[in-house]
This record gives sequence, C-alpha cells and structure tokens, in this order.
Amino acid sequence: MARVSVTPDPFVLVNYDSGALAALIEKVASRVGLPDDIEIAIEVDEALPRPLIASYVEIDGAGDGPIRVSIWCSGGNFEHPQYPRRFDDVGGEIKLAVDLLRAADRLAPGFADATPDAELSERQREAWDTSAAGRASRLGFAVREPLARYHFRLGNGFGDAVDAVYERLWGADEITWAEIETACVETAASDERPTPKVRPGTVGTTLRR
Amino acid sequence: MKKMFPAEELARDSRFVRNRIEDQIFDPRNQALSQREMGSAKLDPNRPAAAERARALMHGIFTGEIQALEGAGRTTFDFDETQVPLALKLDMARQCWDESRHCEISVKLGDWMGSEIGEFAEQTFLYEAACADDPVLRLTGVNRALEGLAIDVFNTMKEFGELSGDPVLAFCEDWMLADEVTHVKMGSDWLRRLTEDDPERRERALEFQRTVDKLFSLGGFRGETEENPVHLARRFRELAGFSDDELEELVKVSEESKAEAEAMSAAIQQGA
Repeated sequence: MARVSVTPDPFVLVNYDSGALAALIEKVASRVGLPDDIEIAIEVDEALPRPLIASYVEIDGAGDGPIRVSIWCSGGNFEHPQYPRRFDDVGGEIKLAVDLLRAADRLAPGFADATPDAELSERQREAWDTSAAGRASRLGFAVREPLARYHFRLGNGFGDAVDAVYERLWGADEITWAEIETACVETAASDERPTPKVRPGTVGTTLRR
Repeated sequence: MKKMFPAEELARDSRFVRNRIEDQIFDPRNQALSQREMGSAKLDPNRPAAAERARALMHGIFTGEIQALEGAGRTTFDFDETQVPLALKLDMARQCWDESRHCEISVKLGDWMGSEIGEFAEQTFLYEAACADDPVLRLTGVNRALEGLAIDVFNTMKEFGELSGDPVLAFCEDWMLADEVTHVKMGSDWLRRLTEDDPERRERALEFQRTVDKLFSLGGFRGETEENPVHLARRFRELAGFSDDELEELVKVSEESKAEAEAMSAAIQQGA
C-alpha cells in the first residue's frame, strides 16, 4: 500500500480531515494501479476555494531510490459544491483518480519526455486529463463525461474536429506522450477562435504560490 | 392561496441545497485570499479555472431565473387592481413566460456545460428582494436592480461564449439578454407612471433600488475594473431606461460595496 503524507495536518481553514484524505489517496492509488511501495505527498492549499480548481503532479526519485509522487492542489479540488468548506467524497475521489492516473503515466516509458505539469500548455493538460478521466470512468470512478467534454472543448475549441480528438482520447485505454502531442497539434489546427489560449498550464501559475 | 409568500417556503426538490450569504462573507479563507495577487477576476476563458467559474455562474443564473419567475408570478397575484393597474399585472405575466423559458434554456445550458441541476448551492436573496409589500418597490428592487444585474451577467456570459468560441452559450445568452432589457424597461416605465404624482414614493423606491444594487454588487462582484468578474453593460442598460447619472451612481455603489466587504473581512480577521 502506498505511503501517504498530507499537508497541512490538520486543516484549519476548511473542514477536511487529513487522515481521511490520506486513506482515500491510498485507496485510489491502489485502484489506479500505482505500485504499492510508492510514496505520495500531497500539499493542499486550503485557502483556494471552489471554483479555483488546480493541481500539479510531479515524480521525484525515479531511479534507485523510492518513487515519490508529489501533488500540489487547491483546496477547491475537494470542496463540496453545495456546502462551502466541506469535503466532497465523490468529487474528491474523481480528482485524485485523474491526478494519480497521470502520475502512473509519468512512470511509464511512453511518458519519459513529457513536459512537467507546471509547463504544460492548456491543450496538453486538457488532453491528458481527458485521457485519464476516460480511463478512470472505465475503472468505475463516477466521472461525469459531459463535464470532461466541456473542459476539453473550452481548452481546445468547439467543433467536430475537436470532438473527434476528444472521443479518441477518452476511449483510449493506453496512451503515450507522443499521442497527446499529436492530439494537441490536431486541435490547434482546427481552432478558429479569435483569441486562442496561450497561457501555459490549465490552472495557471497565479494560483500556485 | 397565500399572499406575500416567504422565501423559506419556496418549493424545491431534493437536488437543491440553500446556503446563506453570511457563510460566504464570513468564510475564513477570504482574508488569506485577499492577501494574494490573484490576477484579474474578470470572467475570461484565459483565466485559471475558467470552466469551473463559468459553470458556477451559469448555475447561479439558473437558480436566479427560477426565483425571478417566482417573484414576477407573485406580483401578478399579491396585488389587486386597486393597488396596481391590470396592465402591469399583464406585463408581469409576460415576464413569467420569459423567465420560464429562461429556466428551460438555463437547464439545457447546464447540460451543455456538464453541470447538474442543484449541483451548486442556491441563495434566495434574489427572491427575498421580490417580497416588498409596495409594488413600486418590486419594480425598482426586482425589475430595475435585479433584472439590471441580469443584463450585466448575461452580457458577461455572452462575451465569455464569444471569446471561447462557444456558439451555444453565446447564442443563448444573447436571446436571454434581449428579454432582460425588456424587463428592466418595464420597471423603468412603470416606476415613472405609478409615481408620477408621488415623488416621495418614487424616492423611497429608488432608495430601495440602491440598497438592492449594493447588496447585489456583492463586495465587488460587479463593476468596471479587471477586479470585477461581471462588468456593467452600459449600452444595454441605456436601452433599458437607465440615465447616465444612474449608471455613474451604480459604479459608485459597486465600489462602495467592495470597500465595505474588504473592511468587514479585515475586521473579522482582527477580531478572530
């Protein structure tokens, strides 16, 4: 079972339980197939509420030492949309599944050249999240497909060509970084919006301190 | 059937949850956030978490449409023809028709954006502003202040749809925006007619409008700077009967509301 550490412990601005979050991460890590001997450190910026949803996943120590997954995320990732400051069990589990599937991807040879999370473009992040969300859905997580589709469209454009790329990413059980880059080239080619997104990172560096 | 229906008794199914504006004002995260440089607050597809901001606002519009329907419906029923002209009640009935279509459009837009009915908490202070016992106050508080806010919100969402290349959102918001201009114009016209010979009543009604405008500026929610998520739609408000002086006053009210919210937040933190 993965070894998990949660920061902060305890939470003071929101009504989250660090121990319960750690237990949830252990469970989700196992379900998405991360190795048992992995370390997962999550830092939650509890001052950032919904709708400020943001996360970054990094891998440290891939090599001789233990593998460590570092996650930074806004508190909004886990906040119940109906009850401010309350932990959202269902939504939180989905967010973790997507982030941990991307962590698992980063451990695979096909993602050896992947750009760090903080440097991903909007398109790259949306493409990768879509792929992870599709796989999470098939693993039994309660992912809402229309929500994933809207995020992808907002990041990549509204049109048939973009939707075709979305379907491919959503339905793929295996994926590589090269396939994500190809998908981004395709959506960029069909994006006719007057102000295409250029800011790096789905979540923006302004949220992360 | 009960007249002057209280907000607590509005019918909702189990998908809906209500929360109080106080929970938002006294959220301990406000102080921590106010000390950070968060960049522009304007609703813009290029901003961080734009999808979630837009979904939350769209759901707020949806619940606002339900309450606007309920408010206009109550005004057709709460007053008899000694209190308001039948033609005003017919205008309110027409507005109910518009608001019910807006509810349906908002549900479909929610589907389009991946949201679910009731996903976000509802606040009922829009309906509460529609509970005044003087119909003229309802015209200023609801038709001019709240439907005026709807003009600003719909225009902001329409621009968001255009910038993000979302044809469905831009199209639907444009349709609803046209109706809101009509609703505000109805408020402006009826206010003038009903208070033609009663300047004191008109002033009371306009004061109520200022109060509602300040409340709905929500500590900087609406304004004309990059710090305001929703921007004042001057042109559409002019079409709806707002004078230049009224528009300037609205900007001032929004700034005051923001300053008061910041002062309140600072006071809460100092007392904590």
